[in-house]
Amino acid sequence: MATSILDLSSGRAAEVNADLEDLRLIELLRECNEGAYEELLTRFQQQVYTLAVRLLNDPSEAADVVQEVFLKVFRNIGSFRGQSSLKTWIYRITVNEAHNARRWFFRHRRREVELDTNPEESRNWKEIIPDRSRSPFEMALDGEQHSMIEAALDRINPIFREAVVLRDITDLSYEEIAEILGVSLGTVKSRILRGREALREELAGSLKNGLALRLVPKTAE
Amino acid sequence: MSCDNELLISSLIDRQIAAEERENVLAHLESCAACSESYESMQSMRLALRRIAEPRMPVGLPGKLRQSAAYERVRNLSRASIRARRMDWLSRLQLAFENMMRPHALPFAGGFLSAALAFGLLVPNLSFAHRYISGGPATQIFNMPDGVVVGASGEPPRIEPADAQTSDYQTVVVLTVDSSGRVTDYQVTRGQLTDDLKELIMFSNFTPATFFGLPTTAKVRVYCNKIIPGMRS
Repeated sequence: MATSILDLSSGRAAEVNADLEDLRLIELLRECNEGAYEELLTRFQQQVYTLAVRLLNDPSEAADVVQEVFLKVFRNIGSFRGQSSLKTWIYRITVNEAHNARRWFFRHRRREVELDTNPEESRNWKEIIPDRSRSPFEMALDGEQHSMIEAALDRINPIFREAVVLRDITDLSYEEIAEILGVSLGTVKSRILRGREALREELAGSLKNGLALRLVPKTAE
Repeated sequence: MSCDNELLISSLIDRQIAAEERENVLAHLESCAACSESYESMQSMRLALRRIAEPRMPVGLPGKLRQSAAYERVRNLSRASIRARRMDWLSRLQLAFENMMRPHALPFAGGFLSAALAFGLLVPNLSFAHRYISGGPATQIFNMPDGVVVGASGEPPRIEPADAQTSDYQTVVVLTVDSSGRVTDYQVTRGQLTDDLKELIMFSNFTPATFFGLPTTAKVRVYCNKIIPGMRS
């Protein structure tokens, strides 16, 4: 019990420290301190890039989004009132930018993609090419599982994907996710659940396909 | 508890559930195979998602971000105050002007130097055409430069050969005329020269003195009338 109280108090202290750290960084950024810009990048560039990649599943698109996000952060830091934490604010910008990028993509490139590909080809090549040297069980344990999950994430509804990515990959609390997405806690809960269910279905489908692909050559032998 | 518990299971995984309800859900999971399986699959999927390797940033991206940060910092600094803003505008204008002038600088300098050179070459040849009433230079062993500077009020002065005689001279000037007939020096011995006359003398060609038929340098006395500024040698 004593340890749990200690944990709780140390957790709160860490939160307060993080808030103070944020305030200090914001103040320095407003003063155009060179080190502050560097610190902001060091602290957030990887996180923002990871989030953008998971939301868009396109590294080059994600790189553009990251640049846009930091441009907005640098330009609007003066008007940031501190109602949310710095992290939440930056993530919110990232989610919005990813949303815009996706919308742009659908408006401008969708037709090109549709003209010369079919749904089977538009999947990740790692997922299509059967790996005959390993069993599905081994596959579940190594990196191929990751690419399967990435591909499955790419296929679920972007609204649910946002919620799942923010919760399970970025590891944010429900409250933070609600703030980032600008929705209620109940909506966050239901979006996370529907995202997980959709992801589970997609993964189950991929596994079945994977098994079929692997079994065909064996029966032929 | 019915078996439509996905939301509760999802909340349980995220620890977003009240302690009492948590106990109930856990107890149900013990007894319900379908819910237990659902819990297991969701939990393992969450773990798998958390284990996905962090994507590596493209090589050039951190550099681009730093570049953008440096640019934005300067931009923010330049907007900090009115003075900074003015300085920024001035430096922008200066840069724009320098950039605009750079391609023109060489042609401009070349043009200016050519113009100066052309003018320098042209000036020594500037002279007034003189009307001579009498014939050309006499063929004597030595003859003096010949000519008279005359001028009426209201018209510019000019040079004519000396044949008009007047006695009422106010100004006497000694001119040094070189072999090409140009005045190289003058000395006022009486009275004063007007600016018009000075200019006329400096830009006038006299018939040079000759020595054995060859042009040579000589001095000549020139007279200037008071009322009609005419000069006679």
